[in-house]
Order: sequence, then structure tokens, then C-alpha cells
Amino acid sequence: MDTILRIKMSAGGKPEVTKEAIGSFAGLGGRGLTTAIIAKEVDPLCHPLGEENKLVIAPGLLSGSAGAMSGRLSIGCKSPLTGGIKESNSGGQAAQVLARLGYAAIVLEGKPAEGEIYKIYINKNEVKVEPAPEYKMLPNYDLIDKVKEKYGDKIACISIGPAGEMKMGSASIACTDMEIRPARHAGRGGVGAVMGAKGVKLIVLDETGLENRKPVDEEKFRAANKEFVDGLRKHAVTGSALPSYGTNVLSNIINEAGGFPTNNFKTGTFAGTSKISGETYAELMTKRGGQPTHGCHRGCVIRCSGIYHDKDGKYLTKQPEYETVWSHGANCGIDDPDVIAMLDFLDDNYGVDTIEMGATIAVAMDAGLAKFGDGKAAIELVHEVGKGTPLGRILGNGAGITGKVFGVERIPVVKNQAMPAYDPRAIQGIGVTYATSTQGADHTAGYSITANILKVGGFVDPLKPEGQVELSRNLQIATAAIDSTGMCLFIAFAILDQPETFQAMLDMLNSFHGLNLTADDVADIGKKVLTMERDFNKKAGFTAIDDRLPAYFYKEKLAPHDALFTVTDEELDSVFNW
Amino acid sequence: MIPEADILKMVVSENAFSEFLRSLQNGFYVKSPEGISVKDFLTEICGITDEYIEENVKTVFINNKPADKLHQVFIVPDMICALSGAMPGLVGAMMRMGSFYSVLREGITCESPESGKSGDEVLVKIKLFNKILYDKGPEFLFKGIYADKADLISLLESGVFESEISEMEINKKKLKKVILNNLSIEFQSQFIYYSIEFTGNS
Repeated sequence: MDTILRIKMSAGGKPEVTKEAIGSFAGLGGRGLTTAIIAKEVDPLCHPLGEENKLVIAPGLLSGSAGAMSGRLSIGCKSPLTGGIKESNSGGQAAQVLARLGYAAIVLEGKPAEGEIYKIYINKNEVKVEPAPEYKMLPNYDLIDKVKEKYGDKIACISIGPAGEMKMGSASIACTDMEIRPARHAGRGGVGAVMGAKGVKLIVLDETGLENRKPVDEEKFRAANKEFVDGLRKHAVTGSALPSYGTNVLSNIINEAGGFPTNNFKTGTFAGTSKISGETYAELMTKRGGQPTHGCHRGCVIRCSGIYHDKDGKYLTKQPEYETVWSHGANCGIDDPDVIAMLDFLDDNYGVDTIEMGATIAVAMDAGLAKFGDGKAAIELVHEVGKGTPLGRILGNGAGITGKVFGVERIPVVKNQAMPAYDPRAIQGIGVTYATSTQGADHTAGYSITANILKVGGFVDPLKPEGQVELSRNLQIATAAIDSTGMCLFIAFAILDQPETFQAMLDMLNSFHGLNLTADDVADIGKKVLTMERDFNKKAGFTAIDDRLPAYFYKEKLAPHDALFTVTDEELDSVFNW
Repeated sequence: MIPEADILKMVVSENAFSEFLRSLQNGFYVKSPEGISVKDFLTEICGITDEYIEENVKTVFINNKPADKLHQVFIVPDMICALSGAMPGLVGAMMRMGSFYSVLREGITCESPESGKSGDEVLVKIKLFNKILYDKGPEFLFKGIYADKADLISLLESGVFESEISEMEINKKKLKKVILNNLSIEFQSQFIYYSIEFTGNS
């Protein structure tokens, strides 16, 4: 995995394929690699949909190996939604196959003539880039059905739906799962629009004849992997809560904490939560012959996903995740699990970010386009996006644009990216990360809970007044580091509580690559990544003003705690002081 | 002071049992002396062992506020107590009892109120989530719990129990035929104390 594959989608000619050694990017994977390439090669002032932008697709450092949880695929570019640097990652099989094919990254460059659309086919012997007019405007599920007919079932696919082709700010990039369904998405920041701008509809990765990547020290790697897996299995979150109920196990808890944004962030509790909770979904899935426990890629031992069947017992979509259940559920006042599952399917099929789309529909409901709680209307609005009607084009460009067009004041975005499923007034610490993240409002930016294991910047005393800022800073560093390994962030639960599991992860990296990384080294990677991202954003025109929450979070009290966001501007501005 | 309650006993199918169990996410009531600690309430009144709490109850909310020390929070009237296992994500970690990350939610953390210790009996609303729901919910349903009349009637009349309840006894009178509509006229009190049995429950 020491090769970077560059494909120049040049206008007026055939796309050019070149391969080069990884060179100065050696030792980087996942977010570390996407950020390093974008920071070095993309003009921060370029138009995100122009030929100067690049789309970097990178597996993690352990992807393609027998290592557990190593299947995240990072996708980076200048974001058409935020205007800043973006890394969005996804599960599914693509990272594993891309790594086994030997590529550290695919970099899509340039831009074809308007209207041209291509497919890229990669196997162990060749890379083919061919026009693909037959796939134009196909939704993801229809597309992948056709692709399977042509290429068989030894493939993993990376694709965009109509939203990506229409270059919408909420467009996602789909990755197929173990069943070759386009159900896993790099959702955030409009990465799908950049792929659409490059004229690439589909990348087929053929795994025929491929083997697992081999570690430098096979015996040590095997032992470390076993220790790592044992740690994940014995932990209450990764061994029980997530496999049993999926990420949606959080709905009841966040609702109980009064931080479950409801009806476009008007209150912190939703009366219908028990109807759409992880517990309820798990029972429903079992009853209908679906699966409440399912992995999104081979090598996953947490298996937080599931398979959702409709009322007739037929596959409809993957188990809707917590963010989807919140965004399309509580945030739109909808408490019907089938409606939310249908919206999840439509998001995946048209290729839009489930957080952005749910937040957008809630803003549209505030604007009077539909009533809160009207599931049928919500479904119709997502169809508008898929069809690309004038209304759909507005909605497809996210909550910020929709709010502006319809004159809504309550628009829950930071850097124009919609907030995820935790109200920052009730949970102030997450608000610090929303405000200051390089990615726009993003719960996963400070998601990794390994800060004190990594001892980033020394051990933090959380009881100090400045604890929230320090913790947010360190969490963002730790997350950037974990994202750079390509490991699923959910490992963080186990490595928070079990230092031996964190050590096992380090041992996996070291034995695989023949390195001697320490916790400090991993933390340094995180800092470097964030520094590059902050620098890019600054050059792109971001200032301290962009590191703020919308004004209403400071002045509209949130029930039931009557809470306001109270972290000061000075404190927010100190997050990246290191 | 605890209001009067009607008494309802039911024999139900496994499907119906699942419905009742799932409804415990919304809350039910248990009688308790005012002023005892939440820890004592859970162990002595609810019958949940110390070992079970230690091992499994990782997240507790008192009146929507995450709590850290159950022995320092005392039962007061109108209290709501929600019990959950360990939760994922940064926010899940923040909410855990005694979490290192509790500072990130300090604005809503449950402060320990003064103990009233009146000794009067009050109803405490309990909500059970995830692992705790499935581990401990059945015991509550078999033993008997208080439910708000409107909530329970709404559940019973929701249409999901047709042919799923085989026997019904209201205030010690066994009904000749199970009724699932116009139930409000059968119950006079604000609360209903109900318990259920189902095939296999001895």
C-alpha cells in the first residue's frame, strides 16, 4: 500500500491515470493522508466544485489487513458546504479492498467537460476509466444492482447518487457493505458534490485474487489483534450496548438528559422517543426477520449496525443510526420508525447526508413547508431533492441555504454544516467542539474519548473551570489521530476504560508496519492534522467569527433545563492554543 | 401522600408482554419512603442488588439530570429516576456516573438536594432503558407497578392487545370477558397498580 493513484479528469481529453510512490506522505493513512494531500496540493481559495479542488480517497493504516475494526475509508477535499477543509469517513468494504489493491489513496483531479460522466474500474492488474452514460442520474441502489450484473459480487463500490451528480452541498459518497448494498456513506460536507464535479459516478474495486496485507511481524500482530478484540468484546459498550441496540441506544439517554434536539432545536426532549428508541427498533427488526446486530465490513467485531425490514418482511435499509433517528425523527417531530427507515433509505439512495437532510427538513418545517410530525411530507421533500426540482435543489444544499431562502432565523449550523444530535445548550462541552472543529458542526470531531490515555498536552483536570475547553481540544486531537489510523471511532469506548486495549491498538500498528510508535507519537499525528486543517481554513478565509454557535443558542433557553450556551468567545478562541 | 389506586391483574401472551415491557421506557411508579437515598431506594425498595448496580447501572438520571453519587441523592416527591447501562460516544461517556468527562455536562449535573427524611410515602417514577429494561423490567411487571391511569388506558386501547390478553381482573373481580375499550369507566383512581403474568411465568 505504497502507491498513490492519481486520475486527472481532464476536460477535452481522456482521463489520465498515473501511479506514484507515496513518498513524503509515507506513514500517513485515513484523515492524516487526505488532509496532508489537500493541505499541500489544493489552493484554499479555489472553488470547491472547480478543477483546482481534489478528492482524496484513503483507507487507513491497517485497512486490508486481518486487523479488527480497520475498515474506515476517509474522503477529503475542500468542502462545497463549509468552504473549508473536509474529511468525511465511511464504513463498508471499500477501504479493505482499496488497501489490498495496494493503494494508499486515490486522488481525483481536474474536471471533465460539463455533462461527462465516468466509471473507474480497478483490479489487481489494471485501472480503467470509461464513460458511463448508462449510469447517469441513477440512484445508488439502482446503480449498484446494475453494477453487480456487470461485475459480479467480488467487488466493493464507491458511488454517488443524483444529489452528487447535481453537485448539492449535502451530497454524500456511498460505500457498499458486505452484502454489496450502498448503505454506508461518507456523508458530511458535500464530498459527493466534489465527486460529481469530477464527473465520477462510480469506482468499482475488484477484489478477485487479492489477499490480506501482511504484517511485518506476523506473530506480534496476531497477538495484538487478539488482545484488541478481547478488549472490545469484554467492554460493556462495544461488547453489549452497541451490538444489541446499535448507536440508537443513545436516543433514550440523550432525551432523558434534555439534550435531544426536537422540532428544529426548540426543546431538548421528544415525547415520542420510546417509539423510535434503539430498544424499540431492535425488537421491531427481530420481529420482522431483520437483524439488530450486523457489521458494516468484514473484520468488525462491534457490529453496531443492523438490517431493517419493512412491514412485509423485505429489506428496506440498514438499521437507522442514532443520528438519522434523531435528524429525521425527533428533530422533525416524527415518531414512526417505518417513516424514519424510509427516509434513511431515500438519503442513501439519492446520496445525501442524513444529518444535513434531517436538519434541513426541520428548518423547512419551521418555514412552513410542512408540519412538524408529518412523515409523509418529509418523505415528499426528500423526493424533491432526488428529482432535482427547484425546491429540491434548495433543500439539497443544506440547512443553511434553506434557512436563508425561506427566511428562517433558527438555523442550527456552524461553518454552514448542520449540527448533529446533541443540543449544545444542555451539553456545553459538545458545543465547544461544534464551534471550533475544523470540519463545521461535527460530533465526531471530538468523539474519541482517549484524551487522557494519549495524555495530549498533559493530564487534564476536568474539574478546573477551563476543563471544557481543554477537554474539547484534547478530544479533537485524539480524534484526528484515531481517524488517521483508519480505525472505527467506536473503538474509543474500550480504549478509554482499558489502557491495555489502547496498547494493543498501538501494538497492532507497530507490528504491522515495523514501527515503534508511542502514545505521544499518535497524539502528535493528531496535532499535526489539526494544525494543517486550521491553517487551510485560515487561508480559505475563516476567522474567529466562524468558531461560534448561531446567536440563538446564546439567548433562547432550552427546556427542560432552561439552559443557554455559556462558553465565552475568549474560551472558544483558546481551544487551539498549543 | 400516595393517592388511591385501582388494581389490575392480567394474564398476557408473550407479544403483549413485550409491549408492556417496552412501555417501561416511558416510566412507571414505585412507592418509596421520602428522604431515603436513591441507592437505598434501588436496593431495598426495588430489590436490585448492589452487585447488579455496580456492574450494570452505569448511567442514572434524576429529574433529567445525570447523577454521580446515588447515595447522596435523596428521594423527594415527583422524582423521576432513569436507569441505563454504559452508553457509547463522547456524550454517552459524559453522562456516565462519575465520568471523567462529567465536566462537559456540568451545567445539568444533578446536585445532591438536602434530605427531607419525612418518612412519608411518595411515588417515584422510574424509567428503564436498554440492558436494564430487559434485565429488570420483567421483575417489576411480575411484582406489580403503579401506572398513570391515562397512560395505561392509552396503551391498552392502542389496538395491539387484541387476542393477546387472556384474563383480566379489576379490583379483585375477574372479568368474564377481557375489555379493551372504554376502560376509563372501569377505573376511578388517578393511578392503576398493575401486574401481569404470561405463559411460562410461574
